[in-house]
Amino acid sequence: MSYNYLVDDSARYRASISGLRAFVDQILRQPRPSTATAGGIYRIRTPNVDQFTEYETYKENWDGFDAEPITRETVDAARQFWRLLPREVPVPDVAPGADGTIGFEWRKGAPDDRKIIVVEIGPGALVTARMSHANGYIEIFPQRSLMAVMRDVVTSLLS
Amino acid sequence: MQARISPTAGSPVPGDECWYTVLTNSDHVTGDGTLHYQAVKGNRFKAAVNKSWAHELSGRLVSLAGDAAAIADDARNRLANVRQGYVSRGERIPSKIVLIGVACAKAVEITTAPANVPRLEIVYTPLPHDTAHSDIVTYQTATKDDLDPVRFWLMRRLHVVREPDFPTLITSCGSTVAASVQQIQSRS
Repeated sequence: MSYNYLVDDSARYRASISGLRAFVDQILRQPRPSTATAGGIYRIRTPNVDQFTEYETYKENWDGFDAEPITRETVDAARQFWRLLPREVPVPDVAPGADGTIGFEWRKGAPDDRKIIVVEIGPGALVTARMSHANGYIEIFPQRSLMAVMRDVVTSLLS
Repeated sequence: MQARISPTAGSPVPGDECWYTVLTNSDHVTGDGTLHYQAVKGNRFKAAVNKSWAHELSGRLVSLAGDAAAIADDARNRLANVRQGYVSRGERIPSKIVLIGVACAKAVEITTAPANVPRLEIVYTPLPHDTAHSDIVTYQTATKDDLDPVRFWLMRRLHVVREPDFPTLITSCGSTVAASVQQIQSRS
C-alpha cells in the first residue's frame, strides 16, 4: 500500500512535520470566526461544564456496538489539548471515538480537493495526528504524549 | 424507484444497492454536514472471525430495510437499546446520544476506491434478527491502523442523511441531500 507510517525514518519525519507546519500555517492565515469558542493558550478561566464534560459519562457500549468507555483522564487530556490551541486556529469538530479516544478534526478545501487533519487524544493522554490528502495519501505522525506536545509548545514560545 | 434485489448471503451486493449505517451521536456529523472521522471507529468496524475478509463495518441495505418509516423505526430501536443501558444503571442519558440519521452511499461509490485503499466489498450478511444486515468488508487489513485509508475514504464517500430526509434513501440513496450539502460547501 502506498500510505506511509512516518515513525522510524527521521528524514521523512522531519519532512512530514514540515508539511504539517505548512498546513497549519495555511489554517492560521484564515480568519477565525468571532464566535469561536476554543480555549486558546491564554484562556484564564476554566468552566465547570464544557463540551467535553458529557464524554465522561460515556460508559461501555455507548454507541450500541460495544464501544470502549471514555476515561476521565482522556477527557482531561482532550480539554488540555483544546486549551493549547492558539485562538487563531479554526475551531475543530470534536467527537468521541468508540475506541475510547476524543478526536479533533479540521477540513480544508472544496469537497473534491479536500485535506482532512485529525488529532486523536487517547487513553494514557497519547496524541496521534493524521492528515489525509485529496489523492488518498495519508500521513501518520508519531504518537506522542500530551506532555511532550506541551513541552514543544513552551519551547517554541520561549525560542 | 430502486429495484428490489435478492442478494445471496455471503456474496457482494450489486453496485447500485444503497448501503447505510445508523448514526446515534450528534458529534459524529461535522459542522458542515460531513461524517466525522470518529464515526467509523470501534467495534462497529471490527476484525472479522472465520471470514474470508479481515474487517467488517456493520450496516444495512436500503432495498431490504423497508420504507422510510421502517428505516426510522429500526434506527430508533438501536438508539433505544443504547439509551436503555443508561436507564438501567440509573444514569442520565447523555444529551448527544440521539438519532441523527444515517451515513450512506451506493455500493459502487464505496467500492471504487483509489489504489492506496485496501480492497473493499459490500457483502450481504443477514442476521437472524436483521435480514437487511450487510457489511462493508476489507481485505489485507491486518491491524486497526491499516483501516485508516478506509476510514478516510468512507468519510469522503458516505453522506449523511437526517431522519426527515429518509424517503430520499429509497429514491436516490440520499444523493439529493448530499448534492445540496456539497453545493453549500463549495460556495463557502
